[in-house]
Amino acid sequence: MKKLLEISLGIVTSVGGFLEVGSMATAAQAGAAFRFQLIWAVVLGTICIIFLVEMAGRFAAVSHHTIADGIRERFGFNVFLWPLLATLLVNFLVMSAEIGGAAIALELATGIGFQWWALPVAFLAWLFLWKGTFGFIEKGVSILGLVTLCFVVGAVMLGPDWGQVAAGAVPTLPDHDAAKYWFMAVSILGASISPYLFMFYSSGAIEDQWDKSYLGTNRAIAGLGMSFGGTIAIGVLIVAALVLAAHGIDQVDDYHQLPLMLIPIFGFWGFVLFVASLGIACFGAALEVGLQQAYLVAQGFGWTWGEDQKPRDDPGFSTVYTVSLLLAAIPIALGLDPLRLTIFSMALTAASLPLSVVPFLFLLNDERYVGEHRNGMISNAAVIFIIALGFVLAVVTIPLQIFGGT
Amino acid sequence: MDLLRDILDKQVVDREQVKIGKVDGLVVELRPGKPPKIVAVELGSITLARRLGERPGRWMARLAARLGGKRHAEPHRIAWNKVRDIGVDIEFDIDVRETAILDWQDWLRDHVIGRIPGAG
Amino acid sequence: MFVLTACSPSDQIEQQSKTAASAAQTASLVLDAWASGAAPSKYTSRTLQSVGKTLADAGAQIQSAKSPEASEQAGLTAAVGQLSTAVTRAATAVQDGNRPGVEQAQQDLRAATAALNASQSKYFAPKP
Repeated sequence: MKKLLEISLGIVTSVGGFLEVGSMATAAQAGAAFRFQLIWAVVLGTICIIFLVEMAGRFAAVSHHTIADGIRERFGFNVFLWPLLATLLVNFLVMSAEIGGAAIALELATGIGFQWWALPVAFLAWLFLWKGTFGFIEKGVSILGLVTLCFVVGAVMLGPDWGQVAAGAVPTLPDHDAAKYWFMAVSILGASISPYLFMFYSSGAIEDQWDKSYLGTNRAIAGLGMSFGGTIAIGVLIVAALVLAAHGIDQVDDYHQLPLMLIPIFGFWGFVLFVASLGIACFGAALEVGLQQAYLVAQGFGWTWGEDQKPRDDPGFSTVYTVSLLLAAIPIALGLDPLRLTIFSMALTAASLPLSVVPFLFLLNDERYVGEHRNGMISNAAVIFIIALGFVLAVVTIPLQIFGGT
Repeated sequence: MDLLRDILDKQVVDREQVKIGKVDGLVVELRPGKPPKIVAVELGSITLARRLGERPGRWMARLAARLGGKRHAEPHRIAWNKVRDIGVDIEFDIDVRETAILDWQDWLRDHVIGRIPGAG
Repeated sequence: MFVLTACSPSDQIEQQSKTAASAAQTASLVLDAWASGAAPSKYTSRTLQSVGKTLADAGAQIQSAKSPEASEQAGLTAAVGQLSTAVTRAATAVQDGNRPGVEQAQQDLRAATAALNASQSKYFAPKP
C-alpha cells in the first residue's frame, strides 16, 4: 500500500515537473506552424527521457551514487569537468528561461513588465530552497503543476481528428519551411530530453534514500510519469494547432500570443489557467534547476549536500543555488526576451546531450556499480540511439539556429 | 587493487560521516620489486588544478596561499593508515574539524550564509 | 538568431508578408477575446502594441527589399501599413475602454487584412 502511494506520488511529481517553459513554448510553436506534423518529436523525446530517467533512478538505487558522483568517480576529474561545465552552462540558460516564464506569467496577471519580476521570482525561488525541504519542494510544487493538465482537457474538448493526431506521431518531411521544421524538431527534443531532469531525479532518489527495493517503483515512475508529461506537451501542441493555426496564426514568436491558445476554449478562465500553468510550471522548474546546479557542484567536489539540511550545515551547497538564481535572473531583469532565450536554450540543450549521456553507457554497464542490474540490450540500444541523435543535433543545431531560428 | 580505479575520485567522509571532499590525488611510495604503496590521499583545489596541468597547479597554489595563508599553500593530506572503511565512500578515522580542509566552508558559514536570516 | 531566412528579396518579402498576416490574425483574435470579456484590457493592449511593432518592422522590411515588381511591392507595403495603423488604434481604444473605437479598429483590421491577402495573391501569382 505504501509503495502504491509512493508510486502515484512519484508519477504526480513527474507529471507536474515535466512541463516547463521549454516544452510549452516549443510545442506551441510547432503546433501553430506545422499543426500535428511534429508530434513525433514529442513522442521520440518522451521515449528517450523515459529510458534516461529509469537508468538514473536504477543507478542511484543500486549503487547509492548520483549520476554526478558516478561520472566523477568512474572517469576521473579531468573528464568530469566537461559534462560539468556543459551542464552548468545549459542549466544556467534553462533556469534563466524558467525565471523568464514565471516573470511573463506575472506580467500577464498584473500588467507590470516582466523584467521587473525577474529578481522577485528569483528571490522567492531562493526562499523556497532556503527554507523548504526536498519533499516539500518535490511534492508541493509538482501537485500544483497538475494545473497544466488543462491543456489536455482543452485538446479533448476541441475534438481533434485523432487519426490525424496519430499520423503526426510518424515522422514525415515538411512541405514548407524545411529549416524551421527541423529547428523546431531539435528544440522539442531538447525541451523533452533535459539533462537537469534525469540528474535531478538521481539526486532525488538519494535524498529519498532509495535502495534496490525501489527498482519497480522507479520503473513505474519513469514510464508512467514521463508518458503523462509527454501527453501534456502533445496537448499543448494540439491546442496550438486547433486554435492558433486554425485562426491563421502560424508564427508564435511573441509570448503575448500564448494565452490566446486557451481563451477561445475556456473564455476568461482560459486566460487564468494559462497564467497559472505558465507561472507554476516555470517556478517549479526554476526550483529544480536551481537545486540541480547545487547538487552538481557539491556532488562533483564532494561537499556536504542535501536540501533537507539547514543552510548553515551545507554552506557550499546553499551558496551555489543562491548565486545561480541571482545570476540567472540578470538576463531577464535586463529585458532579454524570455521566449527567444527559451528556444535558444532548448536547442543548446539538445546539442549538449552527447556529453551528459555518453557516461550512461559506461556507468549502467559497470558491474561494480549496478551489479546484476546492468543495462539490457534494449536500454543500451536506447542510450546509443540518444547519443547518436545528440551528435546529429549538435552538428545541425548551429546552422539551423542561423537559418531556421526566429 | 587498482588504485586509480578504486580509490581516486571517491567520496571521503570523516568518522562522523561528514562529507569532506573527494580523493583528488594519491601520494604513493614506489618500492623496487614490490607493488606501490599508498601513503596518503590529497584533497583540495591545488591537487585538482595540478591534475589539469602544471601551470594551473602553480596558479592555484599561489591563489590558495594568498586567500588562505600558509596553511593553505600546500594540498591537504590525510594519512592512509587512518583509513577505516572503503565502501560507497572512503571513511577516515579523523575529525574534519581538526583539519584545515573545510576552512573555506567555515568562513562561508560565519561570514555569509550564517548572517542571512533563516540559515538554521 | 536575428539572421533572416531570406536569401533573395522576393523570399524576404514573402517571409515578411507571412509574418504580417500571422500578426494581424493575432490582433483580431485578441480583440475578439477582449470584446467578449475573456481577455483583460492591460494584456490586450500590450499584445496589440507588440503586434503593432512586429507589423511596423515587417512593413519596413518589405519596403526596403529590392524587388523587381515595384507596384506589387508597394501594394503590400500599403496593406501592412494599414494593418499597423489599425492595430495601434485598437491598442489605444482598448486602453481607454472605448468600445466603439475598438469596433471601428476591428473593421479597419478586417479591411486591411483583405487588402493584404489581395496584394499577396497578386505578388505571388504565377507570372506569365
